[in-house]
Amino acid sequence: MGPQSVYRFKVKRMKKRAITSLAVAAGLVSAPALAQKMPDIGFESVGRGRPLAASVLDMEREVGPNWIRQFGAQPSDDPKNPFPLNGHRHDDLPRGYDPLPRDLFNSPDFYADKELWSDPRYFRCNSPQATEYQRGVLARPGVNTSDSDADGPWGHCEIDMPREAIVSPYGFKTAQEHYEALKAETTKRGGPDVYTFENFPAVEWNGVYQRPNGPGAQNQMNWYWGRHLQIPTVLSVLTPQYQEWFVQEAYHQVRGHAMWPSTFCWPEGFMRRWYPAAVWEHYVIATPDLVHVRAGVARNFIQDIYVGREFNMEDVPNGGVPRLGAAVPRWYGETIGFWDDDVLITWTSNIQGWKSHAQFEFSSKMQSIEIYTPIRENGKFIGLNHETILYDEEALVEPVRIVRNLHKINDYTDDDQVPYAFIECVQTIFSVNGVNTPLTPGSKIEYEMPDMYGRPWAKVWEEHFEQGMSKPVANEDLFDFE
Amino acid sequence: MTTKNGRKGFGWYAAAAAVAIGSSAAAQQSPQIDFESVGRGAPVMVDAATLPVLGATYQGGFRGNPNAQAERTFIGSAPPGEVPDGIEPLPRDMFTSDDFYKDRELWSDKRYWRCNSTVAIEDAWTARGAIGDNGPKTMGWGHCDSDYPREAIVSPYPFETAQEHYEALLAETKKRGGPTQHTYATVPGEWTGRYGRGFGETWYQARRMQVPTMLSLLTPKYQTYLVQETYHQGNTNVSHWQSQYCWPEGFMRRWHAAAVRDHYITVTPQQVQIMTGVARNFITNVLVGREFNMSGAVPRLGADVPRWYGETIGFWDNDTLITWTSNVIGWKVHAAFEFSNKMQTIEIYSPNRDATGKFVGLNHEAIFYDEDALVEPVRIVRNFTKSSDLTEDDPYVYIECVQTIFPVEGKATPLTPGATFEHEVLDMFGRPWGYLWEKYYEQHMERPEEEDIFSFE
Repeated sequence: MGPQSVYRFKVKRMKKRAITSLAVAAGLVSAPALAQKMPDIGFESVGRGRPLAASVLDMEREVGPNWIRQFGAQPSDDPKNPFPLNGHRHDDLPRGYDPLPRDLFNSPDFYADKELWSDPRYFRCNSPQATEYQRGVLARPGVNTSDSDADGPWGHCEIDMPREAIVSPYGFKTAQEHYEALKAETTKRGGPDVYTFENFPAVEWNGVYQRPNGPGAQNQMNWYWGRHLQIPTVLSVLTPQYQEWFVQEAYHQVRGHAMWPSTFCWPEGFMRRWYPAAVWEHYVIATPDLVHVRAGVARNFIQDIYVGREFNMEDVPNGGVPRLGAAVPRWYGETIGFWDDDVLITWTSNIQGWKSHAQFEFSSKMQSIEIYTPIRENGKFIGLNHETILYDEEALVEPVRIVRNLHKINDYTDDDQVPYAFIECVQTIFSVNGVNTPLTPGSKIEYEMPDMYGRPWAKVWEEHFEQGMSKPVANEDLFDFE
Repeated sequence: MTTKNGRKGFGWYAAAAAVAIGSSAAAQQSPQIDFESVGRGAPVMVDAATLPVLGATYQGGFRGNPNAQAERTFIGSAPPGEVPDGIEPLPRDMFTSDDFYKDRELWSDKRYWRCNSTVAIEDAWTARGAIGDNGPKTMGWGHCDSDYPREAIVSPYPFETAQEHYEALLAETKKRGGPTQHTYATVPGEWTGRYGRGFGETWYQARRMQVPTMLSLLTPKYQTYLVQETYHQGNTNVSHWQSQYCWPEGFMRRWHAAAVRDHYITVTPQQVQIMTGVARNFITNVLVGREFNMSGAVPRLGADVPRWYGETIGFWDNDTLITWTSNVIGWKVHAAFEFSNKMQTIEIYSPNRDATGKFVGLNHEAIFYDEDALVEPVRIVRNFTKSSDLTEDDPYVYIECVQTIFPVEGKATPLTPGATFEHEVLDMFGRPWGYLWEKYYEQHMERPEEEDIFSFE
């Protein structure tokens, strides 16, 4: 498929807003191998356990561009070619790649290019993650070895994750609908199960689960990692405002101006739970009333699932969100859940809107339905399938789904199991004239107090790198308190 | 048995029992234990709540607010600008001194502090403070005839190290047929729940204790650190609380009433988790049945890197959880003493039950060992009252601190978005609070040379 046909295909897909059950049924029949990505739950559920329409694990290559390098490998002596490139140099494109005269890499104003954003060539067929490889903000050396940002290399235009495999396969418009349907289903099945310490079936959940991206990590990769899809495919699930914000980050990242929250010890935010670089081992504590999931690298992610609780819905008719505590968004939301046998079905709401770098920003309307299902091998518990459906009416044009598998590696009592190192981030990198700058004690800078609820990352970009651009007048501030 | 500090082991028991008999309130603070243990359950000698607040502070009203409804009531022995009867003030004290380092010989005299507690001095410049109209010279006086006794602060047990203490408790538990290997069916799951924010007044809240009493617990260097903070809080009116700047709270703030609110406890046979916090999160994970790796600088479970809240192992003696925490990062507690990376604790969680045997909460007994900071171990005992199961009430709010206060020219300054200032990057492992005081407010002082407690050499 050449770039033009990729483009046409994408435009067509971007207009598609729903997936039918017929299409899912077809996927079930035609893709038995894919069923391995989801556990066999033994029945056809209204809202969980649906096979993946496509899996990144079945894709042989990443979109790129990225260096092909083994862990620990040293670069060659040629600074222009330190490693083999998975992708194409801008001056050495395969036949059929037809560059646009103006794209993300040579444009002086990405706002003015909105009509081009749906064309993968505008991004030189870079994956979301590859925007962080261009100038080495994710891993050095950058794949753009030129002094000119306009020389950024291309990814593979023929590789992409189908949009159908990203959006939710269920028909629900809201997390509430989804949760209630699952609960009704469980009720029909004789549940929800209410457990005590004496008959608790999830004792074996307690323990430590493998980090997603470490040595020997098993099949946890998913589309959200941003390696196997084109940027327009991500944009196709976003509302216009959130498309703009996504492109804004991509534009600045390929120029080396990343603004990652963890760089500055800012909160990571809810959605970074699914990003492999933000979480390592997951520590699970399971009790009948509370299941606690903790992970983190630069900051801690804590999910407390309050089993058997119900949300306070009083704010919902007035545009608020379901919540357990006060009507104040929480960085990682509040979560309720119930047991269907040994499956834990949860609903998270009351989340603080924020960003996830190389992925889309999200609003305080974000809610998730997350299902934790035991994975067994010959009857033995080996881990948890974690299926998540994300609802955000402000950021997403339709719900999306992320599926991953958490593989248990240790009990807490294992001698070689180190405890979770609770993270207190100590800031050593500061934005100096818009550039992330590591500073040693005693260094002095002019520091501007950020507005943490006003997209502080964008403030830096706009102040230092967007002068003269045609930024549209903002509609409504995501974090507006009025 | 006599310790290196000259304390008599076991002699405490008779004295403590006498106190307990004579004071039901004190007995209520002590864990309910039905045998004489080698290292836990010793009665609390003096219930802090039974002693008066030292002052000098005001209750009610609001200084400078003409619309305040309530009448301001002074607590202390002499309001601002006055001297209590029968007390001869020192010619030079912390409120008049221009160099507290020079006054070392006066630190042990409570008049140097005008008989105030560290907390009253911390409050001095606030709305309830007694700094007076010509502060700091006009600072009021607290009660010179009251104090929390040192004997009730130091550990009643004879152990010199946390390791000795833990091993003795483990041996005792073995003699009793333990440690108990719980399953889900037998572990005290009723502990799981939320515990109210009040946990009883302890000496560590420092409202009823003279400053010299706290100093008497400390090695000379840590005395200097405590005096340095107390001086700047009361004299120069420059506080540096870690939570102001979204710095880590540090291990010992777990015991400070203002740093923690409700405690959320989750119990499983392998692990017990305690979460609490206000400005920052405190998370204690007790890993049951584990043993420390003893090969590093201090006992540890993971890498040879200190952790902000340490690493904790433990075992069950029936329904009592006995724990040992080590590998802690040295840090500070405002209005209390700093501590070093050598800090270790033995903490015992014992169920409190009412007359019918119903579980109502937990007694939390902690003994602190820190050879760098403390001249002998100290003990804090408090009681958590279970307020609800986790199936009801508000969830734990995981805290992400967003900094709005910055040290501008050495002084904590609230800033609004868009404000700019010259920001100096601080050495977070080199007493940054001390650095700020010394750079901006101690240039004229004769500070003794000292070794950096956080030196890696």
